[in-house]
Amino acid sequence: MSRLMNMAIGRIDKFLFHDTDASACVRFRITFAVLLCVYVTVWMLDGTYWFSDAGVLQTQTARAMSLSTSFSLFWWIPSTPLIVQSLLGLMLIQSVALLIGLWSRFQIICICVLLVSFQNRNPLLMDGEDVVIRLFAFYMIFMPLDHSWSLSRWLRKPSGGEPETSAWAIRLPQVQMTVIYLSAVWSKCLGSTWIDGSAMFYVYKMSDVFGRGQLPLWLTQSPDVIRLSTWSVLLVEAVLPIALWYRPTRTIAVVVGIMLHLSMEYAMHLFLFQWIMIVGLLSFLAVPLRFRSKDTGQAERFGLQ
Amino acid sequence: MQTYRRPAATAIFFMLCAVMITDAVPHGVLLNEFPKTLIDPAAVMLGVDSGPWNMFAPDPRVHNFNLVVEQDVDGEIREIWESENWQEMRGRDKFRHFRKINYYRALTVPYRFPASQDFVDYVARTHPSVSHGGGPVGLSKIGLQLLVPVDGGIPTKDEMTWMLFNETIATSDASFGQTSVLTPAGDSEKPNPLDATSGGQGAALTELNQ
Repeated sequence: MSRLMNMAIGRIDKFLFHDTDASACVRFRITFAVLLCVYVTVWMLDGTYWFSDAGVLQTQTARAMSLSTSFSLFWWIPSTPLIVQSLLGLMLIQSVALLIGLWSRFQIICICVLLVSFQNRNPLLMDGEDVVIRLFAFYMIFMPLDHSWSLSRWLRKPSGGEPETSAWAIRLPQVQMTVIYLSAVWSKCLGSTWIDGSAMFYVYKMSDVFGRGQLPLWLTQSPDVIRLSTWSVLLVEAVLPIALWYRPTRTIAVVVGIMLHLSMEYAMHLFLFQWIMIVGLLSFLAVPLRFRSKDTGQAERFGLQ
Repeated sequence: MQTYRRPAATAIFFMLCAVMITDAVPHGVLLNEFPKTLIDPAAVMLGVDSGPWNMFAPDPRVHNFNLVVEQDVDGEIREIWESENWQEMRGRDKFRHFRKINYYRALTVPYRFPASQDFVDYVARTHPSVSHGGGPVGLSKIGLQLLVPVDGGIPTKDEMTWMLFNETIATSDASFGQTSVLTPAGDSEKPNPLDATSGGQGAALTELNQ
C-alpha cells in the first residue's frame, strides 16, 4: 500500500514539478497581458456607462443580484465615474507592467482583485471569456512570471545561473482547458440539436453573434454540410482533452484547436473569447521542453537557452 | 524548491482542480447541485467560480430581438430609444460594442429583471427626448424566435417557423423615477400603459411562417 502511495506521489511530483517549464509561464504572461490590455481598453471606452452609478446599473442592484459572498471593491467605495475610470486606468497600467514583467506577481494580484471587482460590479456584461480571463489571472499568481523576458529580472541583474523555479502552476490553465472542452461536449450532448446534427443551422441564424466573415451559401444551407460541421465541432471538442495530454498527438491537437477557434473567430463576433482560448492551448506546447533538463545541449539546439 | 512548498503547491493544485471540475458539471446533472452549493460560496469569494461551459448548449436558441424604450405621451406611444441593429453594424464597431450583446440578452433573463429596472430608469433620466411631464417609460423586447421542429432535424425553408414576440419588460415613471417590473407572464405591480402596443397583454405572440 505504501509502495503504491509512494509511486502516486512520485508521479504527481513528476507531473507538477519536473515536467513543467518556467518559460511556458513567461509566454503565458506575455500573451495574456496583450489580451488584457485590449480587454481593459475596451472597458475604459464605456467605463462610466457600464460600471458607475451614473450608468445603467446601480451598485445596490448589482450587489442584490450577486451571491452574498461575492467580492467587489465597489461594495465599499462609491462607483463614481472618476473612481471607475481611475481604477480602469490603473488596471491598464498594471496590464502593461505585467506585459513588460515589472513586479509581475504584484501586478497580477492587483489585476485579479480589480477584475473580480469590475466583473461583479456589472455581471450582465460577462460571458465565458470573462470567466476564463479571471481564472487565468488567478492561476498566474502561482507562476514564476518574471523567470525571463522581464524588466524586474533585468533590473536585478542576476550574477549566477538560472534560479531554481517551479512552474507547477502552468498545469492549472492546462487542466482548465481540458475541463472547458469536456464540459462543453457534455452540455451539448444533453441537447437534441447537437446529436441530430442541426445545431449549426441555428447558430447560423443568430443575427447578433454570427455573420462576421462571408461564408459560401453551400456551407450554411446544405443540410449535409451543416450536419458535418456540427458533428465536427462535437468531435474536436471531445478529442482535444485526450489528444492535448498525449505527447505524440499534442502538437497536432493544439493546431486543430487553434484552427477551430480561428474559424469561429472568422465567422462570429465573440470579442476575445477565441484568443484567450488560443492562449490556453499554447500553454500545452511548452510542456515537453525541459529547461532544467540535464541535457542542456538538446535544449540549446532548439534555441531554448 | 524548499521541501514545505511542494506539499502546499500540490494541495493548492488539487483544490483548484476540484473547484474547476465541480463547477463544470452541467446544471441538472448533480442531485440538488451538490457539492456545487458547498463549494461555490468560497469559490465566488476567491473569484475562481466558473459554472458549466455551455455556449450554444444544450441547444442553440435563435432569439433575434431589439430592445425598445417607449413613452406614452398624451395617449401617443413615442419611441425613445432602440438597441443597435447588429446586422448593419460594421465589424470594428461590433467589437467595440460587443458588451451590449451580452448586456441586452441578460436584461431579458427573468432573474435579472432588477437590472432592467435600472436600465429603463437610466434612459428615463438621461435621454433628451423623454418628456418629463409625460407618462411612464417602458422597456420592451421585440423580435423573432426560430422554433426547433418537434421532430428535430434541419427544417426546410417551408418548415421554418418564426415566432414574433413583443414583450414589455419594465416601466419607469418619467416624473419620479419609480419603476415597476413585469414578470414574463405579463403580471405587473402597477398597470402598464404600454400594453396597448402588445394587444393589452404583457407579451404578444404571433406565429409567422416563412
